[in-house]
Amino acid sequence: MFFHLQLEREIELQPKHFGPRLAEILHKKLRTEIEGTCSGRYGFIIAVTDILNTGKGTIRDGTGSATFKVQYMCLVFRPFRGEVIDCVVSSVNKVGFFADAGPLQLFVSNHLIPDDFDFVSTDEPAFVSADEEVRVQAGAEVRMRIVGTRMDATEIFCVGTIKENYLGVINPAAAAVG
Amino acid sequence: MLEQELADSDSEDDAINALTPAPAEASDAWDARPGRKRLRTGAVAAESCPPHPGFMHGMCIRCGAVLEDDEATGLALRYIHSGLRLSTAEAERVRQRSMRRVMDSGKLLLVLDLDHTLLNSTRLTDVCDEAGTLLDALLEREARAGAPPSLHRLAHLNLWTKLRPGVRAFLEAVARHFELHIYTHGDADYARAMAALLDPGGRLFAERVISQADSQQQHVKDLGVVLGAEAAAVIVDDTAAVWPQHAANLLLVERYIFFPACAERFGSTQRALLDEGRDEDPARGMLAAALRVLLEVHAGVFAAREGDPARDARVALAAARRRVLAGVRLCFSAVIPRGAASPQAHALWRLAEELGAQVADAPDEATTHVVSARDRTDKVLWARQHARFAVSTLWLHSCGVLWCKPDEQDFPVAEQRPLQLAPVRSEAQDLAAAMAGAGGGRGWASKPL
Repeated sequence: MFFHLQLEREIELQPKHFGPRLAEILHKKLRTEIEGTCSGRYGFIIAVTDILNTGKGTIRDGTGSATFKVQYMCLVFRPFRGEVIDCVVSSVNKVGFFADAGPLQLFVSNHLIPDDFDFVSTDEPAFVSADEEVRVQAGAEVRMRIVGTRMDATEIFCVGTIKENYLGVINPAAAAVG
Repeated sequence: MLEQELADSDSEDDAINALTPAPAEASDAWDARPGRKRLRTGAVAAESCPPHPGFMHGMCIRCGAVLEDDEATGLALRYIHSGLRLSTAEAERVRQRSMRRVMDSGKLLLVLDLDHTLLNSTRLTDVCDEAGTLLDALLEREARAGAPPSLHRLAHLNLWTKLRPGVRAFLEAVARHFELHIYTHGDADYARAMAALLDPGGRLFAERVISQADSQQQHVKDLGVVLGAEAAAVIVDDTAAVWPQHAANLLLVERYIFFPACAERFGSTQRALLDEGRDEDPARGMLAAALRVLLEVHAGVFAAREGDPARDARVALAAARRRVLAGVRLCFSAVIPRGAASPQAHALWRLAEELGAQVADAPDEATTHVVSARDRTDKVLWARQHARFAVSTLWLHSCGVLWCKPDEQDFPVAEQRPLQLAPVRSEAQDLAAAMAGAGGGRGWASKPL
């Protein structure tokens, strides 16, 4: 699930940047430092949408650098147990398959794949339904429900299921994983 | 407003509550709090947890319950995912299922070693200038020839790698009858790089590449992590000592030693192929022999009906071995010291029996071969008189290595001087050398035993 949050972060700037472009550099530094990171508290920080207030910088003794308390709006992505999410299958093995939803990695074990799906390893490894209509293989888009999340300080990992109504492959011909 | 609440809240829990999706009934059912590692039986798909079948980063793969702390139970399958562990029961279930699946598709499992089996690697720094010039020339010649090269200079790994001649054709051929796995004592980067060289399309091995860190025990390879049932698996490796549990599954191959540094490591009297300026013949070499045996084993297993004890790769492998010298009755001369307590315990005697030959103490009417370490012994003279084969011990060794009966004329009994044999090395020394050579001797696996 996505959230639009206001967060705050201290950004340190070297004295060489103290000039007319200070604000611009500050914003750029915030984006490079924060976008694409993962916090155990809020989830993945996808994008900074707005910078509200940079405040007045404080010069640090000794180094001459200044620290700014920057308040900004950002888009965060945080998975929840029970949430239904669309992912792209990244790899398939006999124990289950892995899928990605943007920065998030999910695993679906073969216990949580419908019983009529069998693992085949000829050509590309895949879980194939008994009527051979549906193939869960790398590149396929799959809708799954999250059954568990594990959030550490820098990483989130999820376990999901496709063994429920309305879950499973939604687009077999998705672009190959790159 | 959400933002407002978040900005105000001090405790982590408050912040998380603010993030939890709004409807109260939903948040009860799907409450997921980060940082909480309490065991919780989930509302989803909790059919029969516990016992939990396995864990991903300490989280049950079926019900999503998070363990209190990462208990190191079960079988780690790091080559599939760094955080994946399966319980013993689950591993057995997967093993049986994968055996049924593989056998149903008419295949067996094949576990291949890399170093000295499919290829030979050495560090750039271990190649002297002279050899380096030779290698550069070979590299250039192969590039001009246009065919997929067998020699590779992998600067990022600091390695020269030489693929065994005919290895690509070998893999293509066995892949039709086996599900291929790589199992090496090199590290993961090395294993992946080698898999890419052997199988540029990534079709043959997929994720089934197991490296040093994935083993349960140091210096021991185990079919457990392969998730392969023993009855359906064949192993191709050059070091028997790393498979103490699975000798019956092992097809032992002669070491492929291309680089001089590797020959030194094994202390063999045989020179490295680069020094000799030659290479294995893909049509008559070890891989061709291994392919023949593997196809034979495959045919043997699937010729047996379901439920027949012969429907077992180990049985078929032993049977193939016994067919090598079937119908041969041999006796030894100048090999086993006279008056030895139990001549049957001699390595050559055992080898001959393993290959299906009958061994007798003295030549008789039915004797077909006399295996001798010296010329002009009584038994050799007898063989010549009675038009039987008199061959050197090397002939028997060749039978053992190549799994076929080579032409006896190529192995006349040695004149006078006994065959110069390599100094006998203990199994532990041999294992240590093999470990040191794993991954091209990059040092990861070369800790002393």
